[in-house]
Amino acid sequence: MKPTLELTADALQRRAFLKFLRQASALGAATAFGSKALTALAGESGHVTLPFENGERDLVAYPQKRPLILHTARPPQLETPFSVFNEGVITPNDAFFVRYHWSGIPTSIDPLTYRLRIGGNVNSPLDLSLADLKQMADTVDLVAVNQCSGNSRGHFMPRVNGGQLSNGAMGNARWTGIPLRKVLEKSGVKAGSVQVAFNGLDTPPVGNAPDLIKALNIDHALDGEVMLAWQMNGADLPLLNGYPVRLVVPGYYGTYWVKHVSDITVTGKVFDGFWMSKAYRIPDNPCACIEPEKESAKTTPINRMNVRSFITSLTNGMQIKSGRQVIVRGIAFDGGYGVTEVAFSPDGGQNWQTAQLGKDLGRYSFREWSVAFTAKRKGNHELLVRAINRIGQGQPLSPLVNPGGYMRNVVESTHVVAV
Amino acid sequence: MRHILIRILLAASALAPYSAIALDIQLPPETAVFKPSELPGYTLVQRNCTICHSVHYIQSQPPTSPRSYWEATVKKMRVPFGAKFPDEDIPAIVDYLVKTYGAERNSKTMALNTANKPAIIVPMAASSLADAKTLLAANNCLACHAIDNKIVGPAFRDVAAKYASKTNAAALVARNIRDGGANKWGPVSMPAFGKLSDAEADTLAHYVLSQ
Repeated sequence: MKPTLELTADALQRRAFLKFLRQASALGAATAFGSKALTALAGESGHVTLPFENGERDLVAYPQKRPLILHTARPPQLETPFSVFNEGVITPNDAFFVRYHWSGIPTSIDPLTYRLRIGGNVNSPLDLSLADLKQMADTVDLVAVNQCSGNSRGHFMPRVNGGQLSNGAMGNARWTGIPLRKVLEKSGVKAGSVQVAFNGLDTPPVGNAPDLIKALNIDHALDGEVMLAWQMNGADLPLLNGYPVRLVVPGYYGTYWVKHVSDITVTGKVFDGFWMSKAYRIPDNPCACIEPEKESAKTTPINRMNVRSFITSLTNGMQIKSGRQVIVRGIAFDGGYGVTEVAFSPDGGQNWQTAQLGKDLGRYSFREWSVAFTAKRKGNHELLVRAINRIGQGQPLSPLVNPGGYMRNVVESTHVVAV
Repeated sequence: MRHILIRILLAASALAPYSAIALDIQLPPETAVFKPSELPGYTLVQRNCTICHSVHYIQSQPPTSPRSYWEATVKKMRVPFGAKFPDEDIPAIVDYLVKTYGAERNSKTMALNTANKPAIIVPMAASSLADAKTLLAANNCLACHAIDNKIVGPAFRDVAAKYASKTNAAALVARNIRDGGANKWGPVSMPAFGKLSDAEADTLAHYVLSQ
């Protein structure tokens, strides 16, 4: 019996199925379901056109997900429709973006047989069950943004090859787990250790391709904030977001947030796998930027996120009433210093006014902001927003570029029409 | 409603910790296909690229992407990404890609980035006469499968063993070849070989089941 059959049946059957489920769970008869397959519902559910050439995409509902922007099917890469960010400062699990590198993704994970191994340069290698991990230390909660390194790559002009994402390869969730430090301490990191490498259950489809393994410097791994998380927003991680456990690296780009973590290896030297030494590199200078078409002389692994801000309540081309005040709302975030100021320009950057910041959910979270705006004349208005963080980092008025198309954080512009 | 049901399923597992259920998902069918072309690279991309990834990776690139991009990317698929096509196939693959999806498109070869359902695809020449081994080579089956050991996909012998007791084994296997499949043999799903005729898929199915 597949739930999907009931899901696509009429309401009466759905109610009957729900009742059956309630009774079954009340009786502790979960095994009656065996190993249930959560199947995507109804396949395609519409189309969107992202605002760049060749930006047509399907909206497809994947398992445990609402219809999201389909970039690639194998492996799945799904982007959050931008309107979701106007629904609240927390991104719902079923709308959270999905990014994989290799098509060998796990589609069935048994929480009872899942193991997490800690080894390498440690005194006592560990082989933990999910229950072991959950009992190892007091759980901690942290609200943090996970953003793809290449979020917004599709907007660069000239275009940059790679995943042609709009602005929705990011999300903000409350992560629950334990600090990675607790696990490393239990295992006993040996003196002289340099990095910690993380591998997950996803694998390349052909044997000799480089598995996605990411590494953090040892001090970073032991900072007490990097987390092994099994919940987001109070529920188990969706499979496509890393069930049963993923790494949470607050303030760092999503490439480090290894999903389905299975192996943690403490190293005595800098880990030199492909995804650290060749991919996800940025120019090693303060702007992480270089003129187009030039090769960077020196590069470094991508790391902390830069400052970004978006208007979420208005979109390009939207009509507003002239002479009537609207409250413009949006979000801002950075790599963990915390956003301290958001400025809004109603006139393409000639004048700026300070926006009011919303509730502070912590320095790694999206920060809501709002500002009153009245279009005093009919016609087009260009609205800009820029944020500044605690250490004075802001956003550039024209995009900084690098060969990977990473870290886009230009001041965003939204054109509205007053009528 | 779907989300509620999923939560209830998960809650059911939480309520019964000693009989927790595995979290299983089934991915939606993959519908993107290469734009048909008379260029020789068309057959090569079908045989090689979709072993590892969906066509989306190619069709979503900026249409301005120059030949140098496609060439570098095709080479990257070989080293370090492990694709197994020979050196001599690279120029034809690059030529198809840049003329179909990149900067050298013309009105005849222009690709539309809609996940078109497989259109009518020209069947392979002399298909009715092709024997299993020709079909295996032409479709690069052996990049992922071997007779008696697992490579990316299952060994043919394991497939034969799994379906041995089924009366309609040939039809099932032929369908899996034509439509592709997932969640049966491991994490990597099998791409659809929709261009095969019924007879060709049947020939391959019988070959696999005879191992």
